[in-house]
Order: sequence, then C-alpha cells, then structure tokens
Amino acid sequence: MKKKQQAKPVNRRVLDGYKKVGTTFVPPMVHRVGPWDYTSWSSQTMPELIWWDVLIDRVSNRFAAKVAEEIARHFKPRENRKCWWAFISDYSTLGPEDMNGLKEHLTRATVLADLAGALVDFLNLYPACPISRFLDQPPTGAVDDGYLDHFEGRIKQLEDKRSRSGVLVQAQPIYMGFVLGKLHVMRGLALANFPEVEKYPDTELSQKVGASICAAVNGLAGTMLPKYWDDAWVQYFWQRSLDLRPLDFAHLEKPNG
Amino acid sequence: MAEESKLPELIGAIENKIRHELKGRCEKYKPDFQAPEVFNVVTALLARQATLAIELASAPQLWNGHSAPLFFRAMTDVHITLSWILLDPRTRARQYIDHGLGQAVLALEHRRKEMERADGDSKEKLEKAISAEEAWVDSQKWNFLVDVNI
Repeated sequence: MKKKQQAKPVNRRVLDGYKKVGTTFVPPMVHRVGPWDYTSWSSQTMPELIWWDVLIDRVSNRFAAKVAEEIARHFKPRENRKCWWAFISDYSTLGPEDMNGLKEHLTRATVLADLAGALVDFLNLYPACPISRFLDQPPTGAVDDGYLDHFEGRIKQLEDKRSRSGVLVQAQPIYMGFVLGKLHVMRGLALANFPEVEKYPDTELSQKVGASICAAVNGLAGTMLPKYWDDAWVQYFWQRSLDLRPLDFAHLEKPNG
Repeated sequence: MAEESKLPELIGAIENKIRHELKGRCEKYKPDFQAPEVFNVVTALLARQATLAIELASAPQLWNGHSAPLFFRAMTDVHITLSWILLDPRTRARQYIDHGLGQAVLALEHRRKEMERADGDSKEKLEKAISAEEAWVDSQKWNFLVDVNI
C-alpha cells in the first residue's frame, strides 16, 4: 500500500508577486493594474459632501433626498457628464443666471426656503462656501459657538466613511446619478437595491448597499473633483476650520500629556 | 547630599523647558493645507526629539559614556532626517511617510513568512500581531498598494 504523500508546507517568499524596480518592490495590484490615484475621504470627499449632513442634521434625511432629487431634475436636461451637483465644488462653476434658474426651480418645488434656513449656520461658519449663493443675502459670518461645537461633533462621526452618517451623505451623489439618468446598475448587483440604504447598517443587505455606495463615491471623487491641492473649497474649508478653532498644544506642557 | 536633593528639581526644570520649547515651535508652525503631511511629519519628529531628550534627562543612571550615546545616536538620526526633509519639505515629507509604510509592510511580510513555521500558541499571537499591524497600515493606505523600498 502506498503511503499517502504529505502536503508540503507552502514555501512562499517574502514579497512574493512584487515586481522589483531598482531598489523598490512594487505590489502586484500596482504593477499589474495600476498606477492608482489617491483620494482621501476625510481630507477631501467628506468636506465636499458635508452640506448633505447639515441638511440631514437640521431637517431630515428625507428632506436631503428631496433636495438632491429636485437639483438633479433641474439639471437633467443639460448635458454635463463631468458633474452630478452633489459636491460643493460643483457650484463654484455655476454662473449667476444658472444659479438663479436653479433657485427658481427649488422655489417652485417648495424646498428653497427650508434649504436656505437649514444651511445658514453652516454658511456663517464658512461664508465663502460656493453654496452660499442659495441664500438671498451673503452670510454674515457671525459664528455661533454652540453650533460650532455641534458641527465639530458631526464631523467626528463623518470621519468614519462607513458610519451611518458617512454612508447617508455618500448616498446623495448616487441618488442624483440615478435621477440624472447617468448611473445605471445591473440587476442583481447590491447597488440595484439602493433604497435599502435607509436601513444602514441594521440589515445585511443595507451593509452591502453601503459598501457599494462607498466604493462608487470613491470613484466619483477621483474623476469629478479637482486634485486635493487644487480644490479651492476644500483648502478654504480646512484653513477656515483652523481659524475657527486654532490647534491647542497646551497638553504638551503637562507631563504624560 | 544637598546637591543630590536638588536633582529632581533640576530634572523637572529640564522637562518643563523642553515641553515649553516644543509647544512654542508647534504653535508657531502654521500648517500648509496643500501639503498637510509636512506639518504632520515635522511636528512628529520634533515631538520624538523632545521625548528622547526628556527620557534621557529623567534617568540620571544613563548619564554615562556607555548609555547616553545610545540616546545621542537616536537624536542625531532625528536631526539628520529633519534637516533632510526641510531641504524639500513637500516631496520629502511624503517620501518619509511612504518609506515608513513600506518598512511596515516588509515587517508584515516577514511575520507572514514566520506564520508558515509557527504552531499553537505562537501562531495565535502572530495572527493577532499581523492583524494589528495590517490595520495600522490600512488606516493610512491599503497595505496591498504600498511600495516597499529596501
């Protein structure tokens, strides 16, 4: 009777599959599929989508979806594949006439007044924000300290892109893509069950939908947004945030701080 | 005896001075949001230098020709690295981070290799270590996208 041959231990080499280029070992995902471009959620995509969280926080998720739907409906007849109007920077390219046209549409849809009311505290923190033109008067820039504390708390939650708040703001551009008729999803894919995101993260299906949304938005940010260092709104957002709340290094003077 | 009793006071004063100097530098250094990694890297290196100085100052038993040079060598490394980065901060701060991530991925690869020979308790410990290190790298950049420069 033949002895059964014992399975040999896998003799995997360190950095197996990496390609050596000079003194650098390049991973397979990069040398076979790449090069890849880097987009940061917390540094760039999050501040671009933050106004949706302001609307969800101040009014409701349903209201934010209604605003998204009406904006997308307004822009649907226009041929513009580069922008879905979900990112704040999208509004920096909008001329005065186009902005007035959008505001008229939102007034007819009876959402403009509530939209402006919900955004006003946020826009007072960031008066040069491109969406400040939704207001009839330029923001005063008067900072409400209570709101600033509250807003910073919201940002902390949003920094986790897979938190409920993080996924719900990322659902907005996807919804706008559907309404604009620019996003089509094959039957059977998780994203085809998009409305399930409302239940995120309580059901398994909502988690799959949420994961698809995060992946899709990462791709949108990479193709639709300017590079981080050229993104004027994001640069302004972080600089202004630092002015509003300067870094505190007091802990450095305390032992074990 | 009187001299010795003053030692804790001296050590405390040195630590306070170092902390005060570090805080002053961090406050004066304004971040450039076009390249935030420069601020992160430079202040982190300053903090490391301050930590090394405080640790050495706090341990009089190390104030001798055998032990103190170990600290001085590490502090010299920090100085050289910082000087090198400041000659071209935007490029080199990024390179410094990428190199560090690459070294972490290389260490991970060695641990994975070690796993092939490990068994029982040591295998479990290694798995935990690998998982923690992977999570640390992934929080900055997916480990399977990191170049390793040796």
